[in-house]
Amino acid sequence: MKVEVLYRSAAFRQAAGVQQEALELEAESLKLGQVLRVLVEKHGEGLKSLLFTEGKEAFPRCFVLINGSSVRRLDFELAGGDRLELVSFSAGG
Amino acid sequence: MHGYHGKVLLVDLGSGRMEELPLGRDTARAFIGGSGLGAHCLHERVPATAEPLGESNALIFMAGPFAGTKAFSGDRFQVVSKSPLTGVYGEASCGGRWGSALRSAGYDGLVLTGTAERPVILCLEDGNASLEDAGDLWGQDTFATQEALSTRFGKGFEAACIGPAGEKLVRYAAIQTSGVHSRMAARAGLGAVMGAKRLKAVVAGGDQKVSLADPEGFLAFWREFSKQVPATFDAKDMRDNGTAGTARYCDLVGDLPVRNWTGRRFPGIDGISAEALKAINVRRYYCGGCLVGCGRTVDIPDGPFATSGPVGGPEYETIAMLGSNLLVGDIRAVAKANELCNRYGLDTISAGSVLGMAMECYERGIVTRADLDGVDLTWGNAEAVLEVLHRIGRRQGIGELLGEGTRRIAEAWGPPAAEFAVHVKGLEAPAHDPRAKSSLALAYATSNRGACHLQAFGYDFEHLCRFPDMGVPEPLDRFAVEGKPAYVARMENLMSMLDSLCCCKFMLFCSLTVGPLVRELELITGFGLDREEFLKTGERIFNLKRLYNVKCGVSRIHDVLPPRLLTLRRGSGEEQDRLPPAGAMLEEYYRLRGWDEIGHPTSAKLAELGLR
Repeated sequence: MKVEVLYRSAAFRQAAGVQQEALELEAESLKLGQVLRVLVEKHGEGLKSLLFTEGKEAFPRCFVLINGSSVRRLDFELAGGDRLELVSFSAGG
Repeated sequence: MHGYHGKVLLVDLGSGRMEELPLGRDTARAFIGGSGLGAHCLHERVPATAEPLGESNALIFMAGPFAGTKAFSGDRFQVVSKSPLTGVYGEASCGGRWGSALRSAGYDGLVLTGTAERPVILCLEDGNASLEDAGDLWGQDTFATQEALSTRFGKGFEAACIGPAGEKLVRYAAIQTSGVHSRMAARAGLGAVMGAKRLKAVVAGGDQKVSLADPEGFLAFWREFSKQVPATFDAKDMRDNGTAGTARYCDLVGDLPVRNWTGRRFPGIDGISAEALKAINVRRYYCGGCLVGCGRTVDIPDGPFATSGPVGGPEYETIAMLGSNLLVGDIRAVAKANELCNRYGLDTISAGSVLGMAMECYERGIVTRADLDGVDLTWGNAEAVLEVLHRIGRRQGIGELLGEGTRRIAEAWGPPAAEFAVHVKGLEAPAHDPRAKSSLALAYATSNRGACHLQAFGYDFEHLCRFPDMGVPEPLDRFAVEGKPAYVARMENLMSMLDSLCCCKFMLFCSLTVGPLVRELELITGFGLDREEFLKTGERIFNLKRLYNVKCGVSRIHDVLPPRLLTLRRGSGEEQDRLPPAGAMLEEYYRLRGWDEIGHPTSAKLAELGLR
């Protein structure tokens, strides 16, 4: 399946090196946690530190949107054509 | 005295008489600068019975001890006065570079009283002050005024000026600095106080420096943090996105005002997000001493929302209040509305709130199209928004009433309209929703200037952010009530210090937390304030402002949220059944503050803080 990934903040873009990408996955459906692990393997520790704390807590300073809705469960099933957005929370404003 | 010139200039604009008031070490140590010293001067010099737009009110400009020293983001300044919008204590904080220009001119602050016979400019240079005629500038917008003053005074001078809104006494008129980049002292209508005094601008410049208590230590501190600050997560994010970066998050968690605070999510969020802003952004803007650059400069070359060239871009508050709050989902329209507010000299938060209220009253038939001068002020109608902003800025037609602010509009339009007026003590609520984060409820209710997100600035640590330095090792539960009164009081004390130091509160997220700030203040002033005394000083300043308000008649009945935020449940999201428990927290808050049951500081508390 193919999912679209959008990096919605400087920190994510810096870690991934792109603003958005189409991610080809060898499965018909995958859980959100599995997709995030693929992204971490692809882009490295920088992205991992934004998505997980050392204690393995997910999303310490970010939100994950799937097709525009906030999802905080790592076992959420993604399907082909889904749009995944990583939105960081920057303080202030 | 290190860190200060030790001089505050007193100017009677009526007689033209000027006097240098000595600023002693004890007073400086007790009230620091900015809004602390401003509140001290207001308390000493302006009776609580003073008419805000009358001669007996004072308009006070104060820099802080960091201004002009290269301290990080310490070139801000504060304006303090009795507010014409609220009738109580008013203050407005402003970025840019005017704060350091005031100190370069040789003054720590200004106290302006009386009313000039004709429009004037106050000119300050190297310890000299004069009043010059401003007849040619009266009626000009802020951009034209800044350009004319730049030509007249040349480089090295900074101007703080008003536009037509201040001249016409719009009750939420702002004071503008930084040319087309427009850093604004926007809240509480202090531009109208300046207009009432017929003071078009204060221009400052020179070469005066303050001495530092420990210059070598300060240099080492600066080197250390000039590496740390830009490397933080929040600095990178704010540099990249500006404050607009928070819009998408606020929409997700129910913190974004939508449709005059009735909606839960804004379908048009993509159109006003940081990504949308990037499409019209041409460069960053840095305030004095800043290593982040969260300000935006935008340029829209053509189309219905074309700007007049590169101009200051909208901040999050503006994007929300003139965007989602009005269902305007086009960042270009918001940027144009922002430019108009900056040119006229209007507070975008109050303007957005007034427009939201007017749109709702129009939709419900409380006012007709004829009442609105024929403008079809429907939700999302950006052209109508711009048209009404022109009328408010010029105080024409319906703009006459709309320039009075939501509280007075509600009085004019009758009881049904009052439900749609979203203010505390007369100051329109900014773009963060107390139904999404409980500390905001108490912060809005108890803020001395009326509804304000920055007087406690605790909401970011109720979700996702940590502040170990202030006893928040993990983000707080955003809906919880327990512990919040103590938390809000603690944060208000800290923010009172930041507003007195006149440094940017965003630095708290960029490694300059309480410990480093205490250190920085010591290196500059040598006051010998430890962490506990630092926060105690903040408590003194917060209580002084409250004391002034008590003299103006403020008590528990005024520490309330507007009905819309207190009682309206929204349809979806985690927040759907959440209503802010302000009343439940207030009693404990008063007790922790050492105030009595009606919210007056007790004599024991005042004595403890050295206040009277």
